[in-house]
Amino acid sequence: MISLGVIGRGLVPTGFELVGAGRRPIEFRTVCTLLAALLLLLLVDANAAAAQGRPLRARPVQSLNFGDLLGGIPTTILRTDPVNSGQFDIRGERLTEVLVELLLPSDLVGPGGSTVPLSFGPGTAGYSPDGSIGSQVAFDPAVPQPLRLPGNGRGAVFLGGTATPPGHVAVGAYAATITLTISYLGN
Amino acid sequence: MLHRSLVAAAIALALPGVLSAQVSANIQATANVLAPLTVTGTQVLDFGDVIPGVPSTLLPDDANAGSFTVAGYSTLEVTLDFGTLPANLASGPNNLPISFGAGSAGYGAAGVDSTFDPGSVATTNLVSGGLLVFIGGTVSPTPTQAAGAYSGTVSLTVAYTGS
Repeated sequence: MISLGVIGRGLVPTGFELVGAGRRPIEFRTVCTLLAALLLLLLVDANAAAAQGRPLRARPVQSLNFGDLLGGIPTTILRTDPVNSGQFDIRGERLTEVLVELLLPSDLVGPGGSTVPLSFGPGTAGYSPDGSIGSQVAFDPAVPQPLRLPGNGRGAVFLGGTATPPGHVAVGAYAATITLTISYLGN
Repeated sequence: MLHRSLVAAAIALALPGVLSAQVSANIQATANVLAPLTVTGTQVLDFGDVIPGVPSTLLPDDANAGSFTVAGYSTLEVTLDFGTLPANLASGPNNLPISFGAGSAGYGAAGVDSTFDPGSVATTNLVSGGLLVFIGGTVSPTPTQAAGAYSGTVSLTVAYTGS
């Protein structure tokens, strides 16, 4: 129920009641505070966007899949393998320099804690400014890689590697986690 | 009190948008280790009774040829290696010469489909995860060969090639 007073030609609320779910009245001052908080949130977020441009994004696209392994026989997946290579999409402020870091596992872990050693050579990672697997620039995934995002602020990171199962290794499924971290360098 | 809390909450929600300049994402690395390759000796190479001075030959598809059973994965390629074959069967201090020729060994899904020289490494594919390997040979007793039971060891090593 809203009560209105009359001042000149206009109407102003002299007091009103909003009834909540529990049918308890909410004060006008509280409502104003809520609106002020919301406005503050919007202003700060806008300022943040203006300060940093587009927010950073890193998205997992595809797992690095070594497929079926045989004991004693190493298996290598190239970063250019469209089906089995690992892939991340990255996004940020266009033409800005970012740092890409990969946290790489040393082993796949399987049944009963059995392990299959992994290795990542100097050229087993690649950055593609246009996101296509065929236009990568290789880099060492063990070394943090500075790169400049293209005009649309998007790119892709691809990863290969080698799994070397021991001659006698437990049968079953093996897995490990690969983490990509991207940060602005401020240039 | 309530309105102060609301403003503080709004600031707390907004600040991460200002301070966050690093993000992370995870993918998995995965693999499936298959059952290992195995080989089992299933039948002795048995020349039976031999007569001094009369060579006796067994072909790989003879009923008394030696045999091995190989088990592995699907139709993967494997090598068959008899290594160093015995030159003699022995009975105490007495030796009975044995030899292996170009067609003394064979392999196949259920019998001998192909023959090969057991002195060389053969390469073939498993058939539905399995393979039988056979070996024959020739014993050449001397005219004065001492009587007795003679024996020796023939070993087979199999391995995936990765193909």
